[in-house]
Amino acid sequence: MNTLIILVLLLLGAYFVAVLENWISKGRFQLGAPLFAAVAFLGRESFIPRKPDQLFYEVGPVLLLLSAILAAAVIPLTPDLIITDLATGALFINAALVYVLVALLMAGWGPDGAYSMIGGWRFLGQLIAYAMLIVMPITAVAMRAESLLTTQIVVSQAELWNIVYQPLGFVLFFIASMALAFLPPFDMMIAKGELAGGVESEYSGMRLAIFRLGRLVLIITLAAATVVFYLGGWQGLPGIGLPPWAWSAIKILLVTAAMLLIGRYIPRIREAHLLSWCWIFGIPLALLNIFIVGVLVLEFP
Amino acid sequence: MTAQAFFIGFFGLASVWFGIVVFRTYSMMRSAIALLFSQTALGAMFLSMQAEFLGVLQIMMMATEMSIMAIFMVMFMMDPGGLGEMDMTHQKRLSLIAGFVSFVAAVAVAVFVDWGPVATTFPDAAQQTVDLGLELLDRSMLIFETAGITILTAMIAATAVAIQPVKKGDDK
Amino acid sequence: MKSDRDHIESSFMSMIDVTKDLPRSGDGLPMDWIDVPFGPLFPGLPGGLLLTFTLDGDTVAAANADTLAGNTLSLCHAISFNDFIQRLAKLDPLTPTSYPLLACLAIEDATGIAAETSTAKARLVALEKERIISHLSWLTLFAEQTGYDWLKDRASSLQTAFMQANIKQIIKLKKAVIDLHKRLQHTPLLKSCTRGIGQLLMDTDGGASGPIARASGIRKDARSSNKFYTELGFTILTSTAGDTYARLQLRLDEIKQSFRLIEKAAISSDSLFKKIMLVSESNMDTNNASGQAIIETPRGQARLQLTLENGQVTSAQLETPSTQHLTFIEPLTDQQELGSALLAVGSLDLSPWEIQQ
Repeated sequence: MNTLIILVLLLLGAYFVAVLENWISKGRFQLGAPLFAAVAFLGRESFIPRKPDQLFYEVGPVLLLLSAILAAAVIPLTPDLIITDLATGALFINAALVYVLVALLMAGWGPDGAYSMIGGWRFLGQLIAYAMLIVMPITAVAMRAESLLTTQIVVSQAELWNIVYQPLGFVLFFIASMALAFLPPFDMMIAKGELAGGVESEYSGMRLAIFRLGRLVLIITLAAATVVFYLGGWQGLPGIGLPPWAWSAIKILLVTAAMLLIGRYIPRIREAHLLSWCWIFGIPLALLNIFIVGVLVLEFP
Repeated sequence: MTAQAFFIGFFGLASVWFGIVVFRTYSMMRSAIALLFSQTALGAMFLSMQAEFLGVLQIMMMATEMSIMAIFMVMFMMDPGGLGEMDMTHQKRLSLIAGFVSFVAAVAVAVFVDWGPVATTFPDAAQQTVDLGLELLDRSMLIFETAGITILTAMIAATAVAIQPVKKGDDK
Repeated sequence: MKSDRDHIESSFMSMIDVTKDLPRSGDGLPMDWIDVPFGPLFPGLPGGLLLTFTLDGDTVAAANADTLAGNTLSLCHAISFNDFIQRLAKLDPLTPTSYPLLACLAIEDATGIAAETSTAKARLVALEKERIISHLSWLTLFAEQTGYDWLKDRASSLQTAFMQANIKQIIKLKKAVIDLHKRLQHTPLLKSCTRGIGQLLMDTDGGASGPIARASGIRKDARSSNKFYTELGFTILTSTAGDTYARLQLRLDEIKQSFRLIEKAAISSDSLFKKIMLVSESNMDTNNASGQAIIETPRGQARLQLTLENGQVTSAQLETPSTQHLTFIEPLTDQQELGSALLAVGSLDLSPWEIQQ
């Protein structure tokens, strides 16, 4: 039952992200726009590249959607509303999200097109930049909770949310998750102006719709993960009597909006800069964060 | 129990099949991805055996590793569009013999080693993770730290060897 | 998996065997090179530009640029002044004012009849307005390339505003122009993603003109010899870095400068603009006169030489800035990363229509 509810909620969330993205990029708030866009995608002819690797070409978008949904499986929206509370939940999110990379590599390489292939490889380069900044902040979060259970991580923030307890980790994780969801300014693998759509460029119709849906679900999943790890999950602010699910929903929507808004006001980051900044500043900062949290956990239990 | 046995068998066979696919294709990229899925199936096998941490870790690490391996294979072996028509096998006789010998050895170990009584109770997943953590920082700490430092040294050494030496007085 | 491919059973392939015949790139790593077309309808480049990169991984090993929309200004027969002006008005849809103005100036130079002061001022305003519009349109393309959505929306809406505005409405856009300039000085990442890209360091102009030459520190601007400009206090703006960032800053400064010139010219009525493209045809008897004119279009210097016979234009030679700038693509993109190479090509602000074939 929970599985079904969460899948429906994910779909709703994805719809909301689409509305929001449309609103931010076009300046018009249209509730129906994603629906019409989806219908248009389904009705449109699917162009197939001349010599695709059939298997990779078809599997790529589906795998993207699948890995985003799998990552969402261990994210609690309320104490009970979770698909499976794995004992290794915090690690499992990572494991599922790595397959976003595999999906993009397959989708990029499969169609046998130059733009998409370069896009796919660019995402691999991006992974080398952001991967450590996803794993290491999560480590610090798990250190405080003394557990990899995502529900336990939320409970550990009952007194003080992690965004206050480890702000450095929050900033790093937030940036890295934007890079993982290839949101602007980290969107060089699907950049219109640089690669004519990159990985997306050889997809059309139904397959493109699945690819886009996968990305929307990925964004909402990452926002939900940020909420669980840093913003106290379903726990509300004292004095405001809202049900836990409402708190989760509000926080996830706010994080999503922030992720979408930032990219609009800055130009795309260059690949080489991203790599060097992540390794020269990001990783030492993440280590510092682990050290600080370690001291805090030991000194002020 | 039967369901568990079924899944272990299923993922085991899947792993072997993907392993075969690695050599049956003529493209580096397909080969790398097949190897990835072979390793992922192995991770799924761990999951079916209720070794949750190990399974998830295997699934996570292999995806990154194989993808990075793929880019290096493509970079060095020039197979950008997968149209390289490369044969993935070489030194056939030697590899056949080596493969056969290791298969026999593995089967022999499985059959002839005294594995002790079958465990009927085992700690739950969360407890397993805790135990693993204590093990890593207790008895096995030296082994793992040594291995870690060795790998790090090897990586730095490999990078240092790969960089072309800069001649003095040469700006670029 | 495709196992049914026919392939030649090969013996053990060593890396040296496989790579020995491949072309060597700058970094010494042999890879397959692929030819990738960018254009004629590539989102981040001007429409009509045919650009082909030979990619060595993510690095450009060779570049080949051409235009799909180029022009040849050859006259088969003599045409009247106004037909000639009309023809130049259609030459480049991106700069519909500069070229007919150039034609007017050349004809006036040949016939020896100078335009009235008020007309000359109106021409100045029209040209500067076109410069603002053209630079804003470049900013839109630049924003598209760099994925800077806010700038894309802002620059394109401001461009539309300028195109539709009459002279009074233009003056009211002052705040928008200043705000845009200020905003782009403080945008994070903007400097780091354009610094050092597409760097052209020049001692002599080497055929470059317009913002590209001035961003490299060459003081070359056809406007500086025009007395109407000097009366309004025009000075040549330059920068020294010669990279994409310098070109961006220079174009932003030029937008502001053009705006000030429009303000200072203080033209109150729009009716003057109707006359700027007209030349007096009263002196029809001019025999075999020839004239030339230089104008600073938004993209650089354009020169027109023409010959008149019996009040008609019989021959004309046009030099346009983009024709020269097209030749910079190859040196600018050589051994650059794909993203940098495209940014460098974009920063040249080529107009495929004015490229002469």
